[in-house]
Amino acid sequence: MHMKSRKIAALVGLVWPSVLCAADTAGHRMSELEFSGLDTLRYYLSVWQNQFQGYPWVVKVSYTILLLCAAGVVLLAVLMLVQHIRYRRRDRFMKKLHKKYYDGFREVCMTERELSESEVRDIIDYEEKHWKGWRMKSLCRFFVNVRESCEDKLVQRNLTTLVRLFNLHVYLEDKLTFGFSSNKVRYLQVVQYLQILIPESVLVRLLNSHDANLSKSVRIYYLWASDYEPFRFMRRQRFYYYRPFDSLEVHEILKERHALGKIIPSFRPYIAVVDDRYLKSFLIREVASWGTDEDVEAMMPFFTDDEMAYRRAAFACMGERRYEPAEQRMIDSYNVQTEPMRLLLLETLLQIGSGKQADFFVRVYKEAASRVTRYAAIRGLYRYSTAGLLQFQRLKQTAPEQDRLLFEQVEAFARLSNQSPIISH
Amino acid sequence: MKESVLFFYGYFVFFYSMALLLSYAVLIWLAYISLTRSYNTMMDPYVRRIIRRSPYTPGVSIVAPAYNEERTIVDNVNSLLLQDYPLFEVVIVNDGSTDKTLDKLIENFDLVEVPYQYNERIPAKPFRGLYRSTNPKYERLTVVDKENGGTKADPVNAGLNVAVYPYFINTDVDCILAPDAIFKCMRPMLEMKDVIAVSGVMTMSNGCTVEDGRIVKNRVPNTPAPLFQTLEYMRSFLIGKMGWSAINAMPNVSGGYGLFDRDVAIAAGGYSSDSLAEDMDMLIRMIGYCCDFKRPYRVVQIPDTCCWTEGPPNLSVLYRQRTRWGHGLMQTYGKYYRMMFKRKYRQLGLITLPYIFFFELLAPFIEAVGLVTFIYLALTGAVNWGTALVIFLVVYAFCLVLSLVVVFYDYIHSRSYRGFFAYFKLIVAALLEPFFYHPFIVFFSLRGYFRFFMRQRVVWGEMTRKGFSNKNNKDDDKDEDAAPATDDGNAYVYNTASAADNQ
Repeated sequence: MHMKSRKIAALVGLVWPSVLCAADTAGHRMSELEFSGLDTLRYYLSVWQNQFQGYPWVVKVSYTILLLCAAGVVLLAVLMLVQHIRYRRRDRFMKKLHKKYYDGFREVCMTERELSESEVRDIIDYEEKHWKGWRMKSLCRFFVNVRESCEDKLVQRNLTTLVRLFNLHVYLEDKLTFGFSSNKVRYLQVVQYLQILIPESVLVRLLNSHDANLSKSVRIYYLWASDYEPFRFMRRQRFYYYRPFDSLEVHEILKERHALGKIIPSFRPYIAVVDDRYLKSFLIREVASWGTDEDVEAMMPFFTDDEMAYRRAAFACMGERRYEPAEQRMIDSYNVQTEPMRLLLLETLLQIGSGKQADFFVRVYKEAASRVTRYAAIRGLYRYSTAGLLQFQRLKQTAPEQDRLLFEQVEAFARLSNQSPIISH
Repeated sequence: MKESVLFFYGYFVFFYSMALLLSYAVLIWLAYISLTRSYNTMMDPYVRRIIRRSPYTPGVSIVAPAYNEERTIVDNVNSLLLQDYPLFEVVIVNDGSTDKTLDKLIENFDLVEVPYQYNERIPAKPFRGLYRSTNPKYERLTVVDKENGGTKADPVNAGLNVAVYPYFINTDVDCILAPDAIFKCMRPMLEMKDVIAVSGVMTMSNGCTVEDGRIVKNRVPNTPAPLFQTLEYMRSFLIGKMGWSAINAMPNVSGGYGLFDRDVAIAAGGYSSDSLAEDMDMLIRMIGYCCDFKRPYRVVQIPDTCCWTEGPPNLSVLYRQRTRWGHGLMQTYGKYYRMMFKRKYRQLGLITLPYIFFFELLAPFIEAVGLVTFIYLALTGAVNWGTALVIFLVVYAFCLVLSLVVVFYDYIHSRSYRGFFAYFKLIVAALLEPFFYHPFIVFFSLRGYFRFFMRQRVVWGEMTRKGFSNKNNKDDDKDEDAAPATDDGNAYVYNTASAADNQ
């Protein structure tokens, strides 16, 4: 709840007992005092108090609840009516925007060449309007809808021209400065989604917000917006907590940075200092996408780390990077891996696909105690290379009875169109 | 002596009622907080875009058991395959159907049996075969054939043994999912930490227009039983579960639609085959597992409608469903009563289980005894009718307010129904429910308790199912309304919410 609402609720909670006390004495004083303005309230309180005089308190309590319920019904009816009017007003406005501007907006956003402001005005048949409040909020929603409909065909420069034409950036800056803090995370995402640049002066005050979510969102915004040092605020987060969505979000932001030609610094200094286990394993894996070969090489010691999450991330890093030099080191670490890690190691070798490790797959198949691992080995062998396929056929002919089904399974799934079952770890 | 008993009983019932009303008022407030929090989460298109494109997006397995569903199986599977999520699979478990369910699947989805090394991580009835499609259009579909397990739990466990992704959705094959159901439920999994289960809102499909496995027009049912159930479900999800979710004290995730962490579900032992309220049983065990191993957990209810299900269309089917729920609730408490009032089990032990015991499980007893007592007092002329009227009006008015609040929450959040008339029907249902629906529910629950105490064998009857289209029923000459249930121990129906949904 907003701070203001909390204060009002506290104030009502403090005042209410004194109102109740006043009700008790109101009846007594009625006969003695001259009538004044406050006595109106006392009069109605005494009517309520005396209404069921002589009745058991059960009835009084029940009657009070009944009155509260009646008031509740009236309140709900009023609130629904107000909401209905607001929705209808908003829907009408959105329909109007859609009718007037939707096709024009899409045309502008999907035009490949950069359009000037006057060209944009002509295309959308722009009418100068100074909207405020809920209209600007609806306009914001409209922009998001258009952006969503254009998806991969969007030309960002033209969208930015549209944003400036309608002063949407001014509205968003205003909301980020003066709006409710509970909404600011959403506004920041609108900013990122529409790729609007907001001045640092607006964002800097949100960096150390007491709302951990907002504080982190601003830091993630800097990841996207900053030209030279995207991680400058990530290290100093007091309340940092990692959640799974962060992996998805940060990866996308880094992808956008890369597409825009911005620098992505090495993750190695951050991996060295980060405490959070999930964040660290995410950064290890991200090295595959954005790191140099030296950075990837530096991830190899994690193959035998005490923390399984780091091992998993390191293997995933090698697989995504298809980093051949890591193969031998991975094979050397095979014997110290747990069974799930061994499965991942085999999958990684398959992903790297150098074609040189078919004998290793055979060795794993022959030595593995677990049927799941044996399956992973022969599946890897089948898909690895031509030499691997030959090895597979040879093993199949000499396979014991209990393993025949595994070989048949590998072949059956491979025959199905676009088929390979993922090994579940 | 008699006067003393009646005196104390009267005050007991009064205080009990006031406590119940107060608890609902608190739940209304907590539900409002949950709703407000759901608005302040991240922007939908932004999240959608990231989830669609990211290599870190986790996959989801939809596990749906099927038993004798030949009428509707093709439409239902097509509906499940229409999910708008980048990485998912659909696992249909044919639980020893005696009709042409499997044949219809094979014929319509180009399935072939493939050799498969079945790993039984959770015990289930014997596995017969695995089927995959040769058509790339149905590459996400896996069909598991197994022997009949008798309850819904068994085929779901078999489906979990085959599922490959880290999260799974447990749903009934006849449920129609919203196209973005997976996306909506995955958001809390991704945006919060330590979430082990997410529940989406379920609503009645009776009366809705369905085309190609999708709801194209969401309508309030016209017939009484589904109409009252619609209101009941809305109260259960939008007030009850949303309220519990605010304090991480969810009692259950409905068996008709719920998203779970697969590893936690398997570690907790999967679904219990002998339970009639397997969804509540499962969630309690998952939470118990997390508490026993001091692992943080969170169970979340989202306010979005994710699933439509065909509810019991008449009293006789409703009777079978609610009797089973009552029986299941008793069974669950019989197994897990030791968790009550134990600090180790956090909100579940300290709040949820005691609350459900006192205000859900005992409520039908107290209502029934109260009604009998009232009739006795009325016949002996001992009732103060003025007082009785006031107290009755209080309870009735509060129930009406509760229903109005839920209509209000639905309107401000999602506006599920278009047009004033739909909401008007719900309000009329709220006015009539205490007289025409609630007494039956109390009776059915008591019947279920009776069966539990008498250790009667539970019979799951055939669900009268109309289906949504008859495209695949060209050679079916039977009347659409199937015969009522017989006492056939092998026939059963998969059903949606369990007893604890009935808040």
